[in-house]
Amino acid sequence: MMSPWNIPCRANTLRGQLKHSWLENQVCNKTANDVATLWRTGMWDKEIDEIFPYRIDQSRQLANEMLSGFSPAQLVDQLSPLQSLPHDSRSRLKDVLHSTYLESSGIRTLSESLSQELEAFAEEFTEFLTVWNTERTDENEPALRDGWNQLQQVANSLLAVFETLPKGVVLP
Amino acid sequence: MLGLEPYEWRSNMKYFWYDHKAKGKQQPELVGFRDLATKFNASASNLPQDSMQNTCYFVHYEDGKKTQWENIARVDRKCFVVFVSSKPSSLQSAQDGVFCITDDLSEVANKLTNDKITLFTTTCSSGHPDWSVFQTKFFPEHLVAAYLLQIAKCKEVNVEMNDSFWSKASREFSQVLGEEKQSVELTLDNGQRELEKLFAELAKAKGKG
Repeated sequence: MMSPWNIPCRANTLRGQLKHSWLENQVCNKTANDVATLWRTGMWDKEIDEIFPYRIDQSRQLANEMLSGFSPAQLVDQLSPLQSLPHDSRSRLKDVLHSTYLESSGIRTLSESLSQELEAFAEEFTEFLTVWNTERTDENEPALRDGWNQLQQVANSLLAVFETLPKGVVLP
Repeated sequence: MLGLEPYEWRSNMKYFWYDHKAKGKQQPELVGFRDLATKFNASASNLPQDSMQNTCYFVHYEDGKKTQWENIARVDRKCFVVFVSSKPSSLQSAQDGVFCITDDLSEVANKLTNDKITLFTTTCSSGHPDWSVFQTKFFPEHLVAAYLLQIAKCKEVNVEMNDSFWSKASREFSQVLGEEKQSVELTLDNGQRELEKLFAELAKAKGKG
């Protein structure tokens, strides 16, 4: 899949935010020790109750919209040399570029992989929520640590898919 | 940053604009978030293209407790923005060449006169996703357009462009390769092979998309 110059698009910004600011910094780089401390102090309640579900929703949105989100068809409206073309020409260009990109890029497979790993993560997160919401005692801490370790395993698989996503508009 | 949308947490910070070219002569200027973006874009658009290849550092501010920096190999523009945290706890000492986040303007001013400290940060298309508001669309757009037209032509969708367009695309083609290396006159009829070769080389050089 070719995306020279990492030509910016909204889908790529969202991809980057989810991968770097959430999956890497908030999930994969947090140890069970870190999470146990955050659990005890209650400092992470908002993240677990609100931010994680929000990020999961955003990831679903990315998976659903990435076929058009990374499409070169959007460049037809953005590239200044093409802006003077008649509407019909631009429309035909968009259609042919989008269909060629869908045929050649493998983007559908990536979208399916993302959805699949994401749902595995969402399922594991629901289980983790159960232990997060238990009473914050010494007895319950081992279950919390186990739950986090399991969540990290599926997070790593999800991250691996994120790493295969394009980093800008894809050229066919 | 935690628990906040990018704009929200940005707006909770103080921002100072510092013009790299005026280093040592100018104090950082306190600006609003949107002014910062405006200043960045205005300054970037005035710079010549040959200033685009500079190594710089990028500062990542996270949850008021730590900073980390990442090396970005190529930064599009020689503009530096100083980001200053509103939280005293985020004061971090800096190593040589690594930006320091502080909430103290005089601290920033002192560092401006210290040659050992390099000030950043700027963003570009390969920059941090949370700072994407500063992204500049810097890529050879005539060349990209030429490539798209070739793709369309292969599918029998022909779009005519004027000579000026092809001349600009040819110039960008040469610039990407290095002008002394190759000069090519692209047209809708002859450009396909050259463009495919070029894009294949670019993809190979990047290693990944």
